[in-house]
Amino acid sequence: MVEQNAYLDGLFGSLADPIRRDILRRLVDASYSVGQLAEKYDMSFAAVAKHIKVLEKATLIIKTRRGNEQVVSIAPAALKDAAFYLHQYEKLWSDRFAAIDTLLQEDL
Amino acid sequence: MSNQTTVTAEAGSPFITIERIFDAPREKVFRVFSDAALVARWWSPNGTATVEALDFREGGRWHFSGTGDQTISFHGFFHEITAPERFVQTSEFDNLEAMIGERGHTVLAKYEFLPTEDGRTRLVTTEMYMSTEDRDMAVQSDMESGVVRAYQSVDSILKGME
Repeated sequence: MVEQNAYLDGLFGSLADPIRRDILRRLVDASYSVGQLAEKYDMSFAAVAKHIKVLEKATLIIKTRRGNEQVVSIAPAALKDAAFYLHQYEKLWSDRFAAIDTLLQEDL
Repeated sequence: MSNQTTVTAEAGSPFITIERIFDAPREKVFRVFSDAALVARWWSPNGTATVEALDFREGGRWHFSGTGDQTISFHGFFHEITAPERFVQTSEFDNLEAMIGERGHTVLAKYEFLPTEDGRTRLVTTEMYMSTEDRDMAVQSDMESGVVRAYQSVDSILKGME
């Protein structure tokens, strides 16, 4: 039981950060090298690498080697987790609400 | 930076609660949910939404479909409308019959538009499923949100491991 809780703490802790959630969202569509992911954020390579490490520790992502670079992919086990699906559900609604924000700027 | 969307789904419960603040008065936010032309512009943010029906009165029918990676369809009826505070509706995911071979998994949803002290609107959506299993299935089968693509990427990951 203790191990299970530690796993869940790691899972939820790692999903609590918006940057890590954003990294996960990108990985749903494709795999990226650590360098490619780092370019997408306005922070240092080391800071992004640290977030990736947290996700890896929570077994949400996996790293594989392709030639000289490390490729980051979403972990199949993560997709079986309800927390991940809930995160997807949240993404649908936050995308809808973002579209509504744009509408609300108009004179309706 | 968009306002934060909070989705709550307690383990073992049939509810999902979605909360979000909009920087507009509730009359305006309410219109975005009740006007067919406006719904068509936000319901399928990553695809194209078609409002097949939106008869916004008590007993009126609604039917939206979305085309992205797959075509999805939802329909239901408005049970109570108290503009601009609240509306209550039923909802059925029309693709479900093809997926699990039966109907009978209707959802009851309440949309509450609460004014904040500074003139903005807090939208609280409460969805009540007929069972915890239905609730979990809804969260997991939400095709528009990329889960289908997620499965495809799992397939390619697994292939890469062979």
